[in-house]
Amino acid sequence: MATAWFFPVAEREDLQAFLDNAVVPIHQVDADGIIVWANRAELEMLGYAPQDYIGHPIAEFHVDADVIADMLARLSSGETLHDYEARLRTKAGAIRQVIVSSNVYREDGKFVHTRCFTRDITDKKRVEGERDDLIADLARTVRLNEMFASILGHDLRNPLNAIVMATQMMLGQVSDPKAQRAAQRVLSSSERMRRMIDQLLDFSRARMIGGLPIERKRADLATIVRDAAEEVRFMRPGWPIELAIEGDTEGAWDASRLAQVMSNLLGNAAQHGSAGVPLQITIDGRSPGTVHVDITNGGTIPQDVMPLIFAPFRGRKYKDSRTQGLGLGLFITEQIVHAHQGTIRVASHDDKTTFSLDLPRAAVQPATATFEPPPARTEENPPVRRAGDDALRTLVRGIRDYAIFMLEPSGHIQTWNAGAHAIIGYTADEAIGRHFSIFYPREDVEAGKLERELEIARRDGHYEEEGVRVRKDGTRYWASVLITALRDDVGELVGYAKVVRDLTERKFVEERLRQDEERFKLLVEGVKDYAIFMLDPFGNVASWNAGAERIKGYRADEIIGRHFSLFYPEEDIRAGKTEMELEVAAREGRFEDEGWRVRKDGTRFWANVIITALRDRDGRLVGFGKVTRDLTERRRHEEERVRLAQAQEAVRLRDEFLSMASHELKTPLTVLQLQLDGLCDRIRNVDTALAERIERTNRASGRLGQLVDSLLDVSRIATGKFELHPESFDLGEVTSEVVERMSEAAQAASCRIETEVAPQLVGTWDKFRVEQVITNLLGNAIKYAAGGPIHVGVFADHGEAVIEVSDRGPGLPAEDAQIFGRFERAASMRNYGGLGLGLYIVQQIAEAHGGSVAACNAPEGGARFLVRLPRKESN
Amino acid sequence: MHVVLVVEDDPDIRATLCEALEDNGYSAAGAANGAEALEYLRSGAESPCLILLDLMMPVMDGQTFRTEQRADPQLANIPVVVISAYRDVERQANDLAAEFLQKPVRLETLLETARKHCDAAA
Repeated sequence: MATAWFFPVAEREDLQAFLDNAVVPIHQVDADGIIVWANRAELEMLGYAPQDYIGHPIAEFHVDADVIADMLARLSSGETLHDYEARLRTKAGAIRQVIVSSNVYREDGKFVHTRCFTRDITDKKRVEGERDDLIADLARTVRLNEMFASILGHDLRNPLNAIVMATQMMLGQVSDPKAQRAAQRVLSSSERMRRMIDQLLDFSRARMIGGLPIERKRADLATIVRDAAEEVRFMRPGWPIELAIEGDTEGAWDASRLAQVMSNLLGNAAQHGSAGVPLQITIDGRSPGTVHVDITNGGTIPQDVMPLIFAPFRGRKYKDSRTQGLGLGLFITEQIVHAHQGTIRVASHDDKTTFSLDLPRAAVQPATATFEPPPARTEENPPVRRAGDDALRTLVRGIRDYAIFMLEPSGHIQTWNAGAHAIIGYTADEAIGRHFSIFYPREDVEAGKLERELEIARRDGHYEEEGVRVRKDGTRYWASVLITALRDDVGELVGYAKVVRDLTERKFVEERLRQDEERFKLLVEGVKDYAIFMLDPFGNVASWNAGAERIKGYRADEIIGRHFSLFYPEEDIRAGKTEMELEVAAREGRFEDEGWRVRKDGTRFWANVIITALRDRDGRLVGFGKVTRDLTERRRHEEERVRLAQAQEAVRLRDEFLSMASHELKTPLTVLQLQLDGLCDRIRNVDTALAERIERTNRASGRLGQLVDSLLDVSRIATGKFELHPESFDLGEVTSEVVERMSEAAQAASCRIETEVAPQLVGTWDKFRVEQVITNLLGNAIKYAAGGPIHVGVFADHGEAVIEVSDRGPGLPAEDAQIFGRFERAASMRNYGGLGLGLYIVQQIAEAHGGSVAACNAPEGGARFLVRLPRKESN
Repeated sequence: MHVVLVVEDDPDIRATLCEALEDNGYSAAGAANGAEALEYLRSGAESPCLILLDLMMPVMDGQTFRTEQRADPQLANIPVVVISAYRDVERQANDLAAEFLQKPVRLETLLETARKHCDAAA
């Protein structure tokens, strides 16, 4: 790999700052495994102060002793480690998952130290873990969702349709007004239930699969609104409706979905609108892009309901405000509007409520969320101050690297700057007015060195030397000193300017600088995870590393000498972003940004960029160090996390949905059942054939109730909310009770149930659930083995209680049939109705008790089910 | 005449329960929530032999109604049967010292409950 290097003769602080501030955690370990150096990123990652880390054995910080031992062994044998996974312990005790890339730096073949780049992948690991959990949960959600669709769409609708058809037929045949009324109520409850099922289906589509699908076709909103208004006239006869239409009301929309929106909104208005105030609808199609609709009625929505107006199931908390049982109408309305990229708002005050809709005529952009990069910082560059006297003074005051001050002709200190404070240690207050002899070792003062210096300065204009000086705290340092005589217009001496630099540091620096440069070069070259490169003061690329090649796609020879704006999207270049970044870095020393950058192949990636200004020892800008990190992956993780949160919300809603659905569906069911019961009684004496039919219908409504219960059970199981409430009871007694209860159904299927129960089989189980097990197994036998005998046995076996149910039906299709799978039915659905949930629930109940269930075909024919429940004797 | 007070916010269920009772020789009064029920009970109208009580209702829910009713010596002795769709209606009803019926309720069960309380009271 071609790597070109440009090295400015940077000040130690700059280079050191660059290394220390590098976003890459870096450390070096010597041949004995002791950490000899670590940068700030590394220390920050782990939370240690330098003295807690540097000088300590690296093994102390590794969680796994064998891992670091292996790493060091490999390194000393000359191996290069790449993306070696390890776990480090932070000061706070947390464990960071990292990958380490490292090799040994040798001089004359001798192990000097390792160069080690660390990358923290803890977040990545966590996200991966969360993602796996989520995928599992989503898979469950999807399965459940399919189940709801199947139950709601098929299993619930069919009996409902049967009820509606039978009732309509009956309506034509009976004249008894009470029967007529009852039949009407059956029909309206069925309709209500059907609406609920539709809403629940929509809800499950919107929230669980990810958006209501819409089909766009040319549609006229005015027609849709007129139709919905007709419904309102029917629902609320005599209520005045004012409809105003302006402009073009056509667009590419899903007409049936928008019809639902209008029906929901107008229905809502019809239900809540004050009687004296007319319903006002305006459709404004005068704008080319969007059609606007306002629906206004009298009345005010309570303030506490307003924030929740579009939320699903708000009805639970605010039952007064619910519209149609489930309170899903407005939620679905909003979902449909959003699916059309439209907006919906509601305003409600002063006895007036308005829903406002904006519907774009066609899709503006795909519905998938797009990530907008945060707006670039637009700091105004302060105008550069042209040096007036004041400005010059300000400038001098701010210089930190040089002590610059003025002396009166007598040698008393007149001015003081930040550098003087930093190097010599006195504050301005402490220094000004004192004699400059305080900076000199006593022996120099006594030898009259000071006077000599001033004399030379007076004579030659300046005096320059390197020598020992003394700081406020008494320590000595090696200083470069320049004293300049200052004279006024007529040549009169007015004082001296003195510039002092601390060379102790520089001497030390110069020794280390070579090492640093070498180290830096070596460090940087190998980094693959970060693009690290240098720019000259004009922004042209001056050096290039492996990471830069990997991330940006350019080879060193392709890019060196070209301007770094190549890495920026065009709009950023036009906006002057590249110049701005360099200006900020030059002014403040450092610039950091996150934003889109462009690879060689034109693709964009989300990057973290740090630009550091590099200056030579005279403070001249010699270029910039630039570190770019590709955060695309991290951003993907973040986006994934957002989706994860949404999915978790979906899961939570699903749970609420289930409990709500089963509860709310029972409301119309209650009406259905009571009315059908009453109808049966009423008709039986009049028309036996009709009564028979109603009886059947009635059974259908009973089945609806069971389905709703199964739905809830399965959802509890699937969401891990299946709880047992154990109590002590006699299994034989309970079994006999269930058999007794089921005897009528068994008789209807011409099944004879033989019961054989052991006495005194007491244990601690959930009675309700155990009854359910027996009921389901018996129900299953009655369904599949009609006409034959059914044997029910309960006995003890090695500390377990066993429930056995066997029949003489067709038996199981294959021994390995997944009979306990959630939707498995041994026979095809055409032959047998109902859900395959019963056996699944049996299995879950048995397992929740620590027991098991087994199914097999008996040698004499028929299926045999054995449920084993551990027997915990109660005291 | 035996009066049964039906406290239920859903108009369909309320009407259906009332009709079912009326069709079978009872007199029924409906209330859409606990507050309406208390108002009825304190209005001087004929005291019911039974109160059928839904739990989740606006304005005043079933629990609050039951607490108020039991605190009023004039009303405390009227038997209450909770009707709810919730699975744990039994536990809730126990907490309220009341019997319970699970929704959806069969006509036969409803009439049995009414017979038990009202015919005995006669």
